[in-house]
Amino acid sequence: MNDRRCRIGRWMALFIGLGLLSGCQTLSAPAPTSAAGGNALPAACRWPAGSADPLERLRATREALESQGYTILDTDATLGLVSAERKTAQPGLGAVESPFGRTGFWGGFGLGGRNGYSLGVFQNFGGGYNTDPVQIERVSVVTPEQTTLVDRDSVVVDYNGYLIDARSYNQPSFCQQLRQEIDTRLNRAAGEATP
Amino acid sequence: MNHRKMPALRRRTASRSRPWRVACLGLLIGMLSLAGCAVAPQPQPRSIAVEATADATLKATLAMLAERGFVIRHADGDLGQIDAVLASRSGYEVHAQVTSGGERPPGLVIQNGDTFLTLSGLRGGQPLDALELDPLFIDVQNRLGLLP
Repeated sequence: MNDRRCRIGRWMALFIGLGLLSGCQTLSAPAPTSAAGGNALPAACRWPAGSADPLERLRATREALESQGYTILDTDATLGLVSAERKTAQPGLGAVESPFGRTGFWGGFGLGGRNGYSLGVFQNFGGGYNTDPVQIERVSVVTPEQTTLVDRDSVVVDYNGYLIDARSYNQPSFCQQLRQEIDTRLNRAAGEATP
Repeated sequence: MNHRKMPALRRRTASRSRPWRVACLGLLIGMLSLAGCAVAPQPQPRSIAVEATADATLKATLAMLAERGFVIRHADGDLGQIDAVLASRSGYEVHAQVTSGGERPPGLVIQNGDTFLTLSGLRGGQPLDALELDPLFIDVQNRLGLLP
């Protein structure tokens, strides 16, 4: 009797465990290349472009991004694109030195996938006098038709090219702030033009 | 005395060096075959032909990539090219090209019109295959209103 109950309990634990694991699998975001990955942006990161002159809007977007410390990499007037990136030093993030390499909190050796990133970016930081990891935020604002879409991702790389973190970084707060700054600049430009 | 000993000595060294030479050759071949494995894989482009203008196709492709969270690094409306990236544990890189008329692009799978859309990409350094690129093509065709 007791043995049977024990066996039932073990099976139940197994099923609950499996259910929990499969739940985690379905909760994770769909891959960006899968059929279900088409809706990755939060609602705040897309808005109707409005009736402003496309070129004025591009200039306003460019200024808004530059005022936040981003460097503009590419613009295209026909596609309504502004692409930019920002590099921020992360002091203290790299202070996890041990004789066994980087282990523990930042993921140890399991964080693969450094293939996709250019590792030569930080050569000028090397040499031992500035070894802070650097966060690179890459952002693009596009207006293909009537909707403006903001995409951002973030990569944190050690000075020697070790990839600490890489993720999609579409925060609604960032998009809202960017939209406000673009709108302020557009309104100011319109206000100057009318009188 | 010395002169008479020389040929015997030379013969002995020659017979001893032959296995060394074979070993060196084997090592060289082994290293060459390993170096062959280390070549970076090339992205495998895949194309479709659609019945829409090049401009509309390019804009639909751009909207598709942006809606999926890709960060557009470079795009040029006149060249018809888009470069997009997305950081994740295995980072994505996608390259799109739209051409109108002209030569058949590599890896053409559907021919319905004269505007060619070619996609290729890498994920964690490995080329994206048909399984990953085809949903993107379907998405673009949906946006162009070409699918029922």
